[in-house]
Amino acid sequence: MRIRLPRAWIFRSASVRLAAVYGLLFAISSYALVLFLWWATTGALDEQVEAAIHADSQAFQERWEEGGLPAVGMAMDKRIAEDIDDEAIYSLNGARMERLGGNLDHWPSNVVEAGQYYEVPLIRDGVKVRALVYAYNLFGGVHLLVGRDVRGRAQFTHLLPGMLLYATIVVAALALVGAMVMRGLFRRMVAEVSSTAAAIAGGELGRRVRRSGRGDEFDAMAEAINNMLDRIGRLMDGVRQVSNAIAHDLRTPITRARTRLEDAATHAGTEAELRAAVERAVADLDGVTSVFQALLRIAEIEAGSRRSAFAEIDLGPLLADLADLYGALAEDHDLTLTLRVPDTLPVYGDRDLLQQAVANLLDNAIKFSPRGGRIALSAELAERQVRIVVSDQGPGIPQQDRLRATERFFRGEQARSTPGSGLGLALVQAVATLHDGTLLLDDAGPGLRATILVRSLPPKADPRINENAHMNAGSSGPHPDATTVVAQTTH
Amino acid sequence: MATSAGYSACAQEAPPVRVLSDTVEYCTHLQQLVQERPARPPDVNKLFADGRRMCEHGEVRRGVSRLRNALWLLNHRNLPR
Repeated sequence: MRIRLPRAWIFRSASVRLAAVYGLLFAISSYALVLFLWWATTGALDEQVEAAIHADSQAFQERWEEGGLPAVGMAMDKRIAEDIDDEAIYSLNGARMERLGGNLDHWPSNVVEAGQYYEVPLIRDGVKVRALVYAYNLFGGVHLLVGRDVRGRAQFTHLLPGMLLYATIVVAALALVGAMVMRGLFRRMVAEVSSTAAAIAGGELGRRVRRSGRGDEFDAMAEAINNMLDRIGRLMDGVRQVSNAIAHDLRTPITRARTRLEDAATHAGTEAELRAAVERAVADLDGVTSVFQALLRIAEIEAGSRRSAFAEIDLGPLLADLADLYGALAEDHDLTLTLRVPDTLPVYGDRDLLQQAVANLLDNAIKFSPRGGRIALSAELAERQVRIVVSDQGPGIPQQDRLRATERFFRGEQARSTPGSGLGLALVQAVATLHDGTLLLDDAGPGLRATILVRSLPPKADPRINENAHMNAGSSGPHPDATTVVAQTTH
Repeated sequence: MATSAGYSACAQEAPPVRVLSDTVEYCTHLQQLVQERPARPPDVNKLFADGRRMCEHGEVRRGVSRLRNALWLLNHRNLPR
């Protein structure tokens, strides 16, 4: 069993952790820079030393070829005498390592092989220093050693610990200041979000995160949070409105059923009267049940679970069947229903839901059209979209009501006298949204034109589909006065 | 790029080698080389005097440096370009 020890508050603070990480990164990068500079500088010094040794050895080789050992000795003495930098190290020794020239009192014991570099300890004016040397074998067993005093590099190397110490102090101070600044920025940003969240939790639902106006990442986050809060607010308003609407709209039929039953229980004289009252009450309660079913169906559609049942469907025959079905109903109401759809309208979606959405629009059109009126059901394929239009010659929906027309239970002034639950257009909207589509409501002058736009399937090898697409390529776009009641969503 | 790590390091520290061009004897040798030259400009004479004085007062390396400067001027100042 693990025992969790309480951490000190300082490590629980995200701002302190952020500051610590900043300080650590700053220190690491500073140390890395110092080490890189040291490495590059010592490397450059070594390269210079090696170049000087190489140049000297080339010169001695030439003197050897010109005049042999005496010439090399003279050249060496001259170079030592003019060595203003006081860095040249030479040694010329015979076959038995006896000293022939140079400025070393004997051949270094650790230089045992020609053709490679050695570091040799020297005593210069009583001080121990180091030299980098290179050994050569000349003809006749003569040994040549050329080198440079590298005390400068050694001094620089010895400077490193001191440099690192000072760098540590400076870096620590700068890291501390930087960390405090970072901590302040972080705390200020978090404090604004935190105080807004606390205010909202305390009931101040209209509170929003303040933006600095700099347009930076914090502003982008504040905007995203505010958008989220606005969205939540709208959803809460919707829930509240639907709850109120349910309570209001269902109270009437339930009260009516109760009154009927009570009246029948008190006044019914015969079994037939009692049965008739019960049947009317059952009809009222069936209406209540159907409202709940419609609400549940809308909720199910909005949840998106039906999307898994999507399939390739052809709306052409589907709309023709609906026209047949509703044509008879329209005739009963002394209306004329006309149909204008191509043979094939391929879409990817839920057949039953699209059928129900169009049926709702036709239901509304029949319900609100005056006797002798005309209802038109048309569809076309345009710009990879299938446009289904139902227009009537009824009173239409006033411009100011169109945005709210698809809210649950919304009923305009002119619809209050007509039977209905106010859920029909809400369901159409939900179906359109489920299909990544749009529902448009606009004036048919007179009447209402309801348009469902859904994406069509991409063209296939089927020649009929291509033919239809070509046939409808010149179709017009949405009506300029149309109100988009469902924002098209992408997934 | 060569680094000290790339050079042959002795497993055991070798005994240090004495550098002969830091000694009073070498300072004297340089003084003789300068004095052998017949015509010495004033700045060379100044360097020569400073070098000799420093060597006499134990500042051998600084004295050697002055004398080397003097020799360099004598050998290179009027060289045809």
